[in-house]
Amino acid sequence: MRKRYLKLFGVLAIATSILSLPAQAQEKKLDRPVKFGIVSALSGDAAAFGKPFVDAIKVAIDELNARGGLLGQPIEMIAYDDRGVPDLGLQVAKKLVLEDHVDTLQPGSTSGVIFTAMPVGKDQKVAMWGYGLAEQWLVEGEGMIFRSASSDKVRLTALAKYAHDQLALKKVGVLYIDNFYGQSARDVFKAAYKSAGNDVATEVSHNEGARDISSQLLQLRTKGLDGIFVATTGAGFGPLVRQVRQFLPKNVVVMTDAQSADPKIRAELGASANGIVYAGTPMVPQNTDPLSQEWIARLKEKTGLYQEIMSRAVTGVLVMADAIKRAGTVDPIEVMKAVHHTRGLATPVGTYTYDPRDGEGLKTALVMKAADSPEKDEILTTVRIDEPLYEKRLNYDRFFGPDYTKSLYEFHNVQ
Amino acid sequence: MEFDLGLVMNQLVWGVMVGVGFTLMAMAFSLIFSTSNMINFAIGEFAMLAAYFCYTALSHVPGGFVGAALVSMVGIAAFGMLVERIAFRRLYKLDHILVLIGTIGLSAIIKNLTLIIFGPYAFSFPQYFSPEPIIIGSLILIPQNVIVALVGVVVLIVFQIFMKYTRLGLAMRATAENFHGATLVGINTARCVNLSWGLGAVLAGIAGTMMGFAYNISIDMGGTLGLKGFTSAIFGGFGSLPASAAGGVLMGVLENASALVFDYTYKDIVAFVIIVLILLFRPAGLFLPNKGVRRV
Repeated sequence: MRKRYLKLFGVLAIATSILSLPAQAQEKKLDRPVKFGIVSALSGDAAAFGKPFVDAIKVAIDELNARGGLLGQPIEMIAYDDRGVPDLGLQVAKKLVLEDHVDTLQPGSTSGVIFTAMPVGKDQKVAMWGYGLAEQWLVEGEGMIFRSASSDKVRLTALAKYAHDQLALKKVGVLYIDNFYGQSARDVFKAAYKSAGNDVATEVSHNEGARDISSQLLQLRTKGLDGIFVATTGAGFGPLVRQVRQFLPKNVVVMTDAQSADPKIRAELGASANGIVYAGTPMVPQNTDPLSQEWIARLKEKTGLYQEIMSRAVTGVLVMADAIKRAGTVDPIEVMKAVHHTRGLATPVGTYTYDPRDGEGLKTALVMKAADSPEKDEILTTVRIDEPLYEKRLNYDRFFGPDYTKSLYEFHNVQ
Repeated sequence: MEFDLGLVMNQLVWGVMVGVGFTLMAMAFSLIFSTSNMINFAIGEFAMLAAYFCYTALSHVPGGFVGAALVSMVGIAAFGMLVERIAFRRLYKLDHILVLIGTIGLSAIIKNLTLIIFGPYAFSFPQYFSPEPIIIGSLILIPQNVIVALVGVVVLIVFQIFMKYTRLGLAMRATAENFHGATLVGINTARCVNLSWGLGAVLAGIAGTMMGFAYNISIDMGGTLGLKGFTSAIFGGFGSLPASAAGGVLMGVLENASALVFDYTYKDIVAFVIIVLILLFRPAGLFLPNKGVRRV
């Protein structure tokens, strides 16, 4: 009798295990919060955009938690300061991955830091996203990192093309900050301007932390320029762009990236901002898209103002959260596969559709002209690029297997 | 390369204007060193702190920017004197390296406290002048920068008058020349040292506030100012106020003039190459005799 019950019990146990296997594979319920690791500049020159970025992530995470969180658990943000310094970014990224065991990682406040710290996430196989705009770290990411904004390639190509085709600028110079971002932006703009039909006439640089660039601008004044692209960033953006306006003749068109839309920088620039042509994203007050407007209003309410950098924070959180939800797990490979298979996801900066050829999901940029205030700025043109942005295609083999690329291309119907 | 007289003139004029800021910082370093025999690496942060004091005072005191600046100078002077009295006076007997490290620590404390109180964002003073440049022939002048340079020159003149023609100035010079001799003749050398910290803080504070006025105020501005001031003091003659002053102006001129010959990327490198050459061949500074200087 006893032997019969034991046999029955054994059969029941085995049957229960087998029947429950599909449910376990579908969704692994977490018994802890989902941890989003963030490396950003909370001090130093780069904190001008690093701090609002973290503030916006907090707003996005709070909103998702109010809607139930992820996988039945709340999302928790762990953020460390990299001061905009690559070495420090690497240290704190290691802490997030090896000590805090985060489920996702945003590895740096600038493209330079992301590029330096990203290998930590790759080595430990952590799902990553980045808000820098340079090409290098995305291509080197081998599919383990996605970008939460339209890249420099999209924005600056739109800007350069507009400068050449619409503004008919013949002699353009570049003033850039001598760091990873500045050199990268300079190269992208130069290449884009050249493919539009002209070479950049001259380029000058300034050091990080510099506030006086009188010697550079005095030299530029003698070059007879009709346009200048300013690729600088950080706390010096306002005074440096103001000096550009003061030293160069009035007819010189000043072009910048989306920092010119920042309300704090516009307050610094005052009337000097009028007429600046800049490359931006679709998440602007002028865009009537309801999702865009909803998030701008939410960010203004929670943080006091809206800055373009916040759009990258919100988009990154939303794309990553959507991927985790669809993957049903925080397993990094499954999460990144879900990112790769993202198609038509509505975000405040437009529809996110992953392009496996270049790893970009957002390929629309605006060219805008500054007026009295960011709310009154004029949208000059909207540009969307559908072709692969980079010569080098992403290599997914190491983390996703040799057949993955083909299936991914087929899914997205690209070659 | 074509010779453009207008460009050369502009670079020289701007070099002098930029150099006035370096001069104030260099003199702050030299003043403190000459009386206390100590290099205060927190001078850059004194400059930054004064700018933040001024920005805060702007909305609380009458008199607009001038009133706020005066209040902030009193504040930074008091701060400098308090720090010397409480923290560093008892360290003078220690190894100078330890004291130097102490000032580096002080610099970090000031910077991080300012960050906690004011946050990481940069601030701008209101624009009191039109941003439009003044163009005289081929000379381009920005009103704000001209005002900053003029204020710097006035401060230098007033400071020289103070040091040369007042009893207190005389006492401080005597302390700097010969500390023990000054003590022997009845000069309150401890008070002179304390006052030199206060005045050094004021000189740095004026440089920082003027830099904020011309550009903006940020947590990291002290580092750049401190470095430029320190190198200018070495360039001209560390410990000598007139030599440091001349060093500051010359450093500004050389930096801007170097852009006429070299690529702008090398602007800072040129300055530091000059410093290395000075240290090799005239270690006392360009404007001081080498007599009595030992290589260590």
